[in-house]
Amino acid sequence: MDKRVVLAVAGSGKTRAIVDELTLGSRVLIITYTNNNYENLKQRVRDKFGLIPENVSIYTYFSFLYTFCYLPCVFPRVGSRNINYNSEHRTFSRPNVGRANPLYYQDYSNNLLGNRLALLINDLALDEVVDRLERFYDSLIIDEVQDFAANDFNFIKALTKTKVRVLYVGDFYQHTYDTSRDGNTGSGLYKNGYESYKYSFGSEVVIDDTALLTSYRCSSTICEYVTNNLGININSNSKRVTSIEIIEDVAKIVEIMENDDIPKLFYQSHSEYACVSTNWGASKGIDKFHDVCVVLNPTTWPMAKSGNFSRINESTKNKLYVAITRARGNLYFIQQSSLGQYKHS
Amino acid sequence: MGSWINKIVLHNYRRFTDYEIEFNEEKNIIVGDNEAGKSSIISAIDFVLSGSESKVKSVGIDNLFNYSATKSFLDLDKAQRTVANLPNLTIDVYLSGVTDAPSVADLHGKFKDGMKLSYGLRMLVTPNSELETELKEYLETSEGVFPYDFYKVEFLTFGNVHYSSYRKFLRHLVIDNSTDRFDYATGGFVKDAYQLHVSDVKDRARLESSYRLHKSTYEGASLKSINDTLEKAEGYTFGIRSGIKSNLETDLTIYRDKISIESFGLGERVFIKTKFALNNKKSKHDPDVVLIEEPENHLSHNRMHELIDLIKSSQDAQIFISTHSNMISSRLDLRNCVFIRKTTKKPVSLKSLTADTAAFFQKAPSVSILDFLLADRVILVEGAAEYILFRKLYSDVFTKYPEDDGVYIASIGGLSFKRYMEIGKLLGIRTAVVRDNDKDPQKNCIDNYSNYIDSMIKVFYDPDAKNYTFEKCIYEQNKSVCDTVFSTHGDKLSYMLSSKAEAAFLLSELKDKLVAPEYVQEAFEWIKE
Repeated sequence: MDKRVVLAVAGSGKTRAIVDELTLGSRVLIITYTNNNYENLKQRVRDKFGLIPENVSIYTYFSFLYTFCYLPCVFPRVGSRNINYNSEHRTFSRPNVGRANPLYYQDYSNNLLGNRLALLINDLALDEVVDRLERFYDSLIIDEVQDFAANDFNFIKALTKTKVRVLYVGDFYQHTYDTSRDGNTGSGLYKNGYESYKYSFGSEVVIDDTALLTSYRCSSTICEYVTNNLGININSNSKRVTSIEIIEDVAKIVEIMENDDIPKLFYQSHSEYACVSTNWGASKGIDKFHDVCVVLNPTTWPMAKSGNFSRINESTKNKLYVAITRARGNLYFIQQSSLGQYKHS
Repeated sequence: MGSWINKIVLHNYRRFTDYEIEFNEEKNIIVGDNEAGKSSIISAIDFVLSGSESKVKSVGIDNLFNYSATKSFLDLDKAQRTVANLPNLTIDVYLSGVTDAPSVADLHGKFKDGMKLSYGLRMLVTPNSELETELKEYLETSEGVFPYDFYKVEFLTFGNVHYSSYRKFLRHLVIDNSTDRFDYATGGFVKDAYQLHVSDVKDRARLESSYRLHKSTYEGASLKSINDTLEKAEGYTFGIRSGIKSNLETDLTIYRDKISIESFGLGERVFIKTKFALNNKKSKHDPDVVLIEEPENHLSHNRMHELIDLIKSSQDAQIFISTHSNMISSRLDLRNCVFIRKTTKKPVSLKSLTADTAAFFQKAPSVSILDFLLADRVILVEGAAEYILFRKLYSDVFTKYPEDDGVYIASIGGLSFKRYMEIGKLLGIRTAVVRDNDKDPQKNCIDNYSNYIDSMIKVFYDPDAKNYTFEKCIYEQNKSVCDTVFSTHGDKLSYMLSSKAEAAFLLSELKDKLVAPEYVQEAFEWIKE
């Protein structure tokens, strides 16, 4: 069966492409990572069928790992029912315990280490998980594949040996965080750039980075801005022109800040400000905004002002890309330091 | 057929330390001695399919736990009586015929390392880890009482997901006809049947609350005038009872032709319930599994035939029947029987019986086939005369009765020895066939059975063609006794031959010893070995 990774751009209709795949005649397992996307996907499936049909299962990634893979196949061996999600701190793992020992995958309270859960399943039960996958489903779809890192990436790569159809969808540049990290495991995956990433899925898998290259959401203005300033190629499906403004006028700032229809997207700590807001990375998967205000931190403000983003680091660039491409309409940049009056004391 | 139970594995449950039974897809007749655990098996299935902790608690964990498991724990040295050494009770129910669909992914998995992924459900009774501190303290301070109260009951799928009565994977109904629990059983049946038909918990909640509402409306309207007066005068009011003992599910009953099930006789109730359970309407409310306990109770011979026909006609549900009835077991095909015996570690199945012999016993008069099947050592005789006299002959030889030696005497009542010999061979029953030579020992007693004889099955007969029948042999050995007993008859032997059973009865009443014919004595000696 077809094994395919579709690498798309923001607003190009990834979710739509997934929902379009679904029929009542074929059993599909869909895994998504962020809660935004999980809710969004469920809603879109309900919109299509009136409810989530019995032949379609939508899992968040960790619920897939835990309930579909761990409990039926690995639990009898390990016996723990709790997951430690803060497990990346080295202090949780035990020194001098090797991978053959179930304790390698558990903290000192015998909770499962979240960052090694995929490794545990991969090491102990890959064949059984593949067996279950083939028994219950005809297709496996993973959304937001660009967030899968370390052991999680290795696991979903290993899953492609299944006989069922595999479709992984993602946007390399929307890689804003990692599902998990574990020491140096897979540390080069994203660092080595797009071309290298494409080949990391293995030779059995077809990489398709042409199907979803145009953005339905973003105007040609936004797409040109992203292509020219962030160096990420994105085309608009329309010739629509919108405005991108750097706002410094105090009255205008107040007007935008107090307009609840314009979300304010912060680099981080959005909740410290009294306005309708979220963080850049957390806005991923949100499709409902029209005009968007991106609040720039002291690092990125001068870049936007000068139009020179050459020194931006990868992670910040990706998050900014996510934030900017939320806009269906106009885009406003505001300097974070000008928002002191909105900060909670 | 949909999903069905292909195997149950019991550990420390009731009489069973470790026990495993494989089942058929359609009908399973559980047969066994008294106290062998027939109804324990029916309730084990019921517990697991119900997923109801309260059902288990109402019986009591102490009643479910295997006695020897708890005793071995209590017999340990004090230092060994630790939480880790406490026994667990488990019931594992393996399923077949499950349609692979995302909705049953939770039902599939393994509950122990090294096991193949399978579909199934299990009940676990294990020490409650939340009470570990208290349990430790209890074990350190108390002697001789097993800590049942520190155990918890859990229901898990083979995928290690908890389930309860709210999420059932298999729909089942119990028809319990064992007398002592009858009213309870009918109430339970009505409740289960209701839940089967109103399977959505939300619907049940809606119906329950509307019932409650109607009661309170009635209370407020119809009882108002009485209550107003009463409250003024005495400070009391009447009200309609509600709560766990008085709600929709406790007040429901089933009507047939406008008559409530409780108004029917016990036998008729069995019918109503069985028809209800096996209605074959192919509706979504049909149960996957129907458990019937001792359907023969309260039924006349004719009604039993009707019930058997009803059960036979069922096609959709997997049926489990516990029974003592020869008729039920043979009419529903001996190949469906599972024999539970106290003395053996494994159940015995007659699955490999030939179709011909199974069909034979479906048609043949229901003679004591079950007693034969449940015996370890059997002397098979031709008819009533031998049956009546053998017990006396045996005790005259050994000065004790055959049952004291675990020997069962069965009369085949004119049926073919070979049918019994086939079963005896299959089950490893030590079988002595004692028959007349009918004037040709070689043909009738040797050649005839050459395919059936083995170390456990032997034919005994008089080698002398002249001694062609049992009566003749008895007469030859006990001439003077017979002449006295039958003195009013002219030809003693021809009387014995024409009135076999009567003559045998008269001889069996004698105080004096009779001499058993040599081949009968040999049979007695051999069967005891």
